[in-house]
Amino acid sequence: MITDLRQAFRLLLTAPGFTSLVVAVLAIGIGATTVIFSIVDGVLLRPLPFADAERLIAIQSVTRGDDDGTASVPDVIDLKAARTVQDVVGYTGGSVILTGRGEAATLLTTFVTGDLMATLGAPLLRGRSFADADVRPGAAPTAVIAEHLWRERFGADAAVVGGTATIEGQACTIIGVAPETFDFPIQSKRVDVWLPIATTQIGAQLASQRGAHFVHTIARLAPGASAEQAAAELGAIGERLAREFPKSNAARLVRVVPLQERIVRQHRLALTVLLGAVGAVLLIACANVANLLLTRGVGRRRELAIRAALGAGRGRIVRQLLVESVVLSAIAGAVGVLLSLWGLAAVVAASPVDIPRLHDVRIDRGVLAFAALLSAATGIAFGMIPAFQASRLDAGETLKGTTIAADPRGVRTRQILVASEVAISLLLLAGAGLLGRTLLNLQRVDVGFAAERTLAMEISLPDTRYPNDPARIAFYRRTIDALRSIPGVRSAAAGSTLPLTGNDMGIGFRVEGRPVRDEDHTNAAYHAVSPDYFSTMGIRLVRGRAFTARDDEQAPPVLVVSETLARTYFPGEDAIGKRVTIGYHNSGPREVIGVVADVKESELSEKAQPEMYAPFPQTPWPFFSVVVRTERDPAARAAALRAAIVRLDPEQPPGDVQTLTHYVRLATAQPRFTATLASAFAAIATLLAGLGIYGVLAYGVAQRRREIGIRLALGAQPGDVRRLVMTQAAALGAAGLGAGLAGALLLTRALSSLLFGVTASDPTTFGAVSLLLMAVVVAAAYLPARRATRVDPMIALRAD
Amino acid sequence: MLISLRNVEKSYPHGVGRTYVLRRVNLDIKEGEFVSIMGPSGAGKSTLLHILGMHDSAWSGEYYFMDQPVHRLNPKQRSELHKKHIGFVFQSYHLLDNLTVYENLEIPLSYRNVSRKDRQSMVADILDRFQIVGKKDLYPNQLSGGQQQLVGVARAVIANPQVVLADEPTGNLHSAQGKEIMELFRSLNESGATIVQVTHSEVNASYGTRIIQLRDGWVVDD
Repeated sequence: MITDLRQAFRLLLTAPGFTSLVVAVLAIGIGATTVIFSIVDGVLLRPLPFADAERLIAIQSVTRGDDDGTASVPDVIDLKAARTVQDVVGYTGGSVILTGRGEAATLLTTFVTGDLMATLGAPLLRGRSFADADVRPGAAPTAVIAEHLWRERFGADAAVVGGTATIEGQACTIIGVAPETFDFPIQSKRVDVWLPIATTQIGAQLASQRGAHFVHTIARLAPGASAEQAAAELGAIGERLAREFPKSNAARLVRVVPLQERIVRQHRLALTVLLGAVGAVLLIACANVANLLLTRGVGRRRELAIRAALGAGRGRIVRQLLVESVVLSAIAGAVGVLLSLWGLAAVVAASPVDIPRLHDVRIDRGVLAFAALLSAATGIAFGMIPAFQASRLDAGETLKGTTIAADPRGVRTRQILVASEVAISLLLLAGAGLLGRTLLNLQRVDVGFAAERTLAMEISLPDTRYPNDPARIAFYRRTIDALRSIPGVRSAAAGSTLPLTGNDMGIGFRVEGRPVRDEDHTNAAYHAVSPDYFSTMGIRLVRGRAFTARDDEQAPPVLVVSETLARTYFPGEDAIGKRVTIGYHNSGPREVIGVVADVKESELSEKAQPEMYAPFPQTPWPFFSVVVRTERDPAARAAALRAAIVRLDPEQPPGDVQTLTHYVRLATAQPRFTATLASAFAAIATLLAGLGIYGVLAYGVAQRRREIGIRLALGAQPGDVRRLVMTQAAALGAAGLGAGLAGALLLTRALSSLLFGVTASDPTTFGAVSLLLMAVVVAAAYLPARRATRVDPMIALRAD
Repeated sequence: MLISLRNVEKSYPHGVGRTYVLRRVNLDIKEGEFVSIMGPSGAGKSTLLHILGMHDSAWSGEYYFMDQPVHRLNPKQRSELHKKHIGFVFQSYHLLDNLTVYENLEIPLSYRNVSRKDRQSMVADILDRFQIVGKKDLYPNQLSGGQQQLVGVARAVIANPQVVLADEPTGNLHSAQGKEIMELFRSLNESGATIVQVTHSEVNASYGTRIIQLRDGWVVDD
C-alpha cells in the first residue's frame, strides 16, 4: 500500500496540469457539498443544545389553515394537566425598555408563562429561574437577564442577583443570569431578557383572555411517555377546551411536533433541495474526472500491461488505480475544505436572517469527518469505472502493440458519462429556472403599498410612563407632529403594526345584525392607524373615505376594511355603512366608512386576507410603528427620525429605523437565497457538463484523425467533417436532454411548495433550459469540430 | 515435462470466417532447455510466447505447465502460476518510466507479496549480480538501450523463475549490447533456468540448444 501511495503521489506530480484540473473540479464539488452539508447539519440535523433535546416537544394549537400554532395563556394552563408531559410553558417575543443603566435601550425579550429554563433543562449562570409565584398575575416583577446584558449593562456585577433593573419604568428584581450558551427561542438575534408574561400591562391583559392565542407552547415528555401518548392526551384536552370554550376554541386542534421539527421545518425543504443540487454538482464533477481518467487510462495501457505481465493481478491493478483516485480526491478534499471555509462565510452572509442556528454553523470536526468520507467516497466513485476498465485490458495484445488505440467499451462509457452529465445539468437548470421564476414572480407581486422613499421605526411605550390611553395617544400625536416637521419629510403616519415587518396582529370581529356561530372563523389582520396612514403608505382608497383627524377618541367609532374583507363578508352588498364590532378595546360597533386595497401582511406569496383598520386614538396600543414618506433618499432622514424621538422623550429609546423597501426585500430573502444557490450550482454543473462534452469530442477527434484524413482525401468538405462532430455532439446532447427532461419532470414536483406563480412542470422553463443546455453542447462542440476540419490528410495518413 | 502444448490454436474472427495466427501447435519443452522460436514476421512467434507466458488467454487447445492444465485454470490461478514460475523479457524493455531502476526491480516482488525486508535484500542482490548498483536511482530514460534491457532481464529473473521468456530481447540493441544480453541468458541457462526466446537472429539462436521454426502459425520445424 505504501508503495502504491508513493507511486500515486509521484504520478500526480509528473502530470501537474492533469492533477491541477482534477483537483480543481473535485475541490469545487467537495467544497460546495461541504458548505451545504455544514448548513444542513447545523440547522436541520444537529440536536438542539438542550438536555435530552429529543424529548422536547412543541404543543400547537391550530385552526384549519392556520399553521402558527400559538395558544392562549389560559389554554397553556389547562394543558399543564396532562400527565404525559411536564414543564409545559408558553412564551412569546417582544421588547421592553431598560433605563437607568447607561442610555435607555430596547431589549429583545421573551415573555414566559413559567420556568422556561427548567423545561429546556438549561442551568443558569447565576441565581434561579422563574418559580410559579413569579409568573402569577400581580406577582412582584422579576427578570432573568442574558449573560451579555449582565456584562454590558451591569458590569458583570457578581451581586447582580437580588438587585433591580428598571424595565418598562418599573423596578424588576433580577433573579438569574442565563449563560451565553443558552439561546432560546433560537432566532437570528439573541434574547436580552426573559420576563413573566404579565410584566407589561398589555401582556397581563392578553394573558387573561382565552381568545388571545399568542404564545408558543413547549414541554418535555414525562419519563416513560411517548410522543404519541402525549399527542393523544393533549389532543383530548384540546377537544375538551373546544367544547367548554366554543367561542374561542371551537375550530382549534391541539397537536404535538418535536421542538426541533417546529424550529427547522420551514427551512427543511429548501435546504434539502440545495443539498440535492450540490450533490448533483459533485456527481457531475465525479463523472468529469472519471472521463479524464478514462482518457488518461488509454495513455497508461502500456504501463498497466507491463504491470500485469510482471504479475499484478486484476485486483492489484484496481487497487493501485483506486489508491491514485483516492489520493487525488484527498488532495481535492483538503482544498475543498479550505474553499468551504470561505464559501460558508459567503453563504451565511448572503442568507436570509431568519434561518435558525445558521450563524452558529461551523466547519467543525463532524463536518470535517463528513468531508473526509465524502472525499474518499468521491475518489472511489470516479476511480472505479476507469480502474475496472483498465484492469480488463489484454496485456499480451497491448505489449505486442496490436491493440487498437480506441477501446470501443471505453468510448461508450465516456459517452454515457457525458450524457449523464447533460441530464443532471438539465435537472439542476430546470430546478434553478423554476426557483428563479418564482423569485421574479414574487418580486412582481403588488404588495398593496408604495414602499419607495419611506422609512419606518418601531416605538414601544413603557406602562409606567405611559400607563393609560390618554398618555399613549398624546405621545402618538406629538410623535407624528414632530416627524412631519422634519425637513424632507412629505408626510408621516403611524400604525400599530406595519405590513411585511414581521409583526402582524389578527383580531376577531362580528358583523352587527348577523347571528354568531361559534364555528365561524371571523378573524382579520388588524391595524390601529393615524389619519394619514393610507396616503403615507400609498395604500389605495377604493371606496368611501379614509380617516381624518376628526375620527378621534371622542368621535363615533369607525372602521376601514380591505377589499377582500368587504368581498368575503359583504358579498353582493356595499360594506360602507355596515357596522362591525372588533374583539379589542370594547368600544362597541364601528361603522365601516371606507374600503382600501389589499395589502400583503406577512408573506408575498400569501393570498389576500381580510384586513381592517381603526383610528389609533379609538383603539390605542402601547406600541406602534411610525412611517414617513420622504422627498428624496429616505436613509438620509434616519438620524433625524431617531433624534426627533429622543427630543420628545429622552428616556424613550428609538427603535431600529428601516426603509419599507428593506422589509419588502426581506420578504423575498428566502426564495432569493434558494434561487441564487440553486442557480450557482446549476451554472457550475452546466459548465462542467460543457467541459465534459468538449473533452469527449476533442478526444474523439484526436482518435479519428486517420478516418477524418481519409474522408478529406476522398473529397469530404470541411462542412461534412464539421457535421460529423456536431452530429455526435447533438446525439450526446439529445440523449442527455431526453433523460434529463424525464428526470426533471419527476423530481421538480418536490419543489412545488417552494414555487409561486409557476408550476413544477412549466413548459416555458423546461423549453428555455433545454435550449440553453443545447447551446452549451453546441458551443462545447465548436472547437473540436473546427479542429477536425483542419486535419491535414497528408500528415494524418503519414502518421498512421 | 516443463511445458506441453497440444493442438493450441489462436484465431480472430474475420468477416464470416476466422484468421488463424497459430495452428495446431504441439510442443514440449523440458526443464533446462534454451529454446529459440524463429520465423518470418507475422508467423505467430510473439503470440506463442505470450500464450506460454500466460498473458494471453484467448486460445484453444491444451497447455500443461509443470503438469498443471493451464487451459483449465481460471485467470487468478493462471496469474499465480505465472507469478511463481515465469519471468518475461520484452523487446522494447517495457520498464515503467515513472519508477527508478530500483523500483522497477522491486515491482515483481511486491506483486508476489514478498516482505519489504526481503525485497530490499533481493533487489540489492540482483543489482550487484548485474553490476548496476550505480544505476539504481536512475530513471529508464537516463539509461542506454542496453542498460535498460539489462534491467529488463534483471527484473525478469529477480523472483527466481524456472522459465525466462524473452521476446526478441536484443531487437532494439546494437550488436555489442546484444551479445552481452545473450551471454547473460546463457549464464542463466547454465545456472538452471529454462530459456525460451523469440528471435530473428541466427547468432542469438546459436546460444540456445533448440530451434523451433514457425510459418503462418504452423510449427514447420523443431
